[in-house]
Amino acid sequence: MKKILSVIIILFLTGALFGQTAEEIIKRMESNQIKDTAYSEGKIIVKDRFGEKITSFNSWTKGEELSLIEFTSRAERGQKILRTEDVIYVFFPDAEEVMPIGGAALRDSVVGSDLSYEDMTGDKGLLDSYDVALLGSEAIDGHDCFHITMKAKSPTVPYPKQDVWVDKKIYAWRLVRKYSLSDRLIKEIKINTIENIEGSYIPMDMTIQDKLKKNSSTRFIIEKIQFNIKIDESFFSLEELY
Amino acid sequence: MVFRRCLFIFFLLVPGCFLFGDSWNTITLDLSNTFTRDAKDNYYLLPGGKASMSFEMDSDRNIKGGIELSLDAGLSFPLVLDRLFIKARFDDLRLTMGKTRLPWGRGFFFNAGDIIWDSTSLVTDLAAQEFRTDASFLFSPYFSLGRFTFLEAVVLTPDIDPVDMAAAQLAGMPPELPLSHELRAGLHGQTKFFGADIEAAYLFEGAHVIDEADHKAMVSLFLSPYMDLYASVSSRLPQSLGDSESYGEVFYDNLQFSFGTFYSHSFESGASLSGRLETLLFPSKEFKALSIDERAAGDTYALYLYPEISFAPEPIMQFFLRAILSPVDLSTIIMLGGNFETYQNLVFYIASSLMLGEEEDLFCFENNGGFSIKTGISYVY
Repeated sequence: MKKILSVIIILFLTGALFGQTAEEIIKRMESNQIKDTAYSEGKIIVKDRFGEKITSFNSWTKGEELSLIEFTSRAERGQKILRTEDVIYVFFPDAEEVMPIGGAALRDSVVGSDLSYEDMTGDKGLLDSYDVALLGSEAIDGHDCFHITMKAKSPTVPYPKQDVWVDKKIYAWRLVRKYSLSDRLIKEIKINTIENIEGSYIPMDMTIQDKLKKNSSTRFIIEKIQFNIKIDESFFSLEELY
Repeated sequence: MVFRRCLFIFFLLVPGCFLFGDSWNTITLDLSNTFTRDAKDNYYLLPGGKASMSFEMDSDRNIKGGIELSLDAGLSFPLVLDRLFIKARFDDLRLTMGKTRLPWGRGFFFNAGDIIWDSTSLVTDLAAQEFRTDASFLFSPYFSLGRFTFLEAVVLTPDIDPVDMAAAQLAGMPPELPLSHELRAGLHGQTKFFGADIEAAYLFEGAHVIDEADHKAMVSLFLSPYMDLYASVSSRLPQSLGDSESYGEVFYDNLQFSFGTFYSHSFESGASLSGRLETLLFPSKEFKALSIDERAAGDTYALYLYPEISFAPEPIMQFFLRAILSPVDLSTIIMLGGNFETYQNLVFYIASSLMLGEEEDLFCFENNGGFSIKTGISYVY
């Protein structure tokens, strides 16, 4: 009897640990990282065959769809990117002009980095754009992670397929691989540092590698981040770009 | 000589960078050489240089100011004030004052909606990063009426020609200042309607003789379903008509349209290819070839095209092909160029242009600038 009970308890515990679906894991990861509002300061370091190029920025986000990024480094000073529900606007201060971009231009490089406009401003919740499936467990840099594969629901999603490894303890992603329609690996994003900020585990330092280019990589570093600050929706407007 | 002038400006401006604790400063140097041909089959090698400084106060997001001075080689007055402005924001109101530019209408090369500075001229440097950089002293309140809706008023003080002012001073004569009624004033609004950005604007353009003032208006549209599509239309009516004119005829005579489309495609390798095509249309103008004398007398063609293809195999490198086409007389100026960024903010560029057309055409190898090659380097400090 005791043996049967022990087996039942073990099975129950095992089921509890691995009973999570891929959707639940993604939701928990996003609730950890997507806040009502956030302000951050950071820099993008692009390495190529000529050396390093450093671009600094400030960023404001609200929910999943609204974000404003302002570049603060010398050459890009004043350039801004506003992401709204359905379009991204880019402001060029020299011309005092705002350009909306959409469609295929979302995959264009931002300030010469391996980050695209889509990558930089963040897309909608993953479950809105992808069908997800749990493939199992795998260790990434010594951290036990869920391995989840994601397939795009529509052809308008910039990356048709992504694989993500989510840390089982802290529900933050450790590694992302993005694939083309032909299943070719295009980009790999590896997290170097995760910090606990106001109770949430946030990737603060990551390396993005364009797998189709040699001798090129981009490092994305968040130097400061604050959550749940007061930002009105009207902040994410054309007015804020000028 | 040009290089020494640019260095002089550079070392004059650099100490200014350290005077403002809460400000940021950018100095841009652009040095070039142009090999070009004139109408008499003479070839020249001309130096060129431009140094500009801009700074903005960083202490408050609601206040922005800027100054841009440039030294352009070859001018009698080498130091030009390109920009001098302050912008201050109070909730939904923003005030702009000084010498700057307001982006009315849509268009990269042809923009019929720019009724303040008229962005339809064919005379421009095709190798430039931006084609339309005119600015004027103005005062403009901007009222935000929603996230994508605003109303903007503007008063532009009459432009004063520094060359005329200097010539008058040299001649010991009092300078002839423009009268207050020579100002320009207008209203501009924009909103979003079913995903399209729609703009409309009106501008009163004063003149030395009051009856010679003009009234201009424009409407502009932008949408981006899969590629960018934009169009602007504008026209002008005079304050007073001549005896034999009607408002309808004058309105039609001054009607101008610009249309444009832009598409960009990114490849899996990270390369990108983009294409743009813009059209400028004057419905009342000539669809038949004009002689040089007719064009000199003010006649112009009804249709011009601006195509552009740009290819960037990687972010630090770009190649482009630009042209201005005159379909009426089948003449064109074509430019092939490229730029290459090595170290951060250091860009090398080269561009070569060629005019193709017959002797009486708008563009012709025999014209001044029928062939040119420009090489240069720019650095943002």
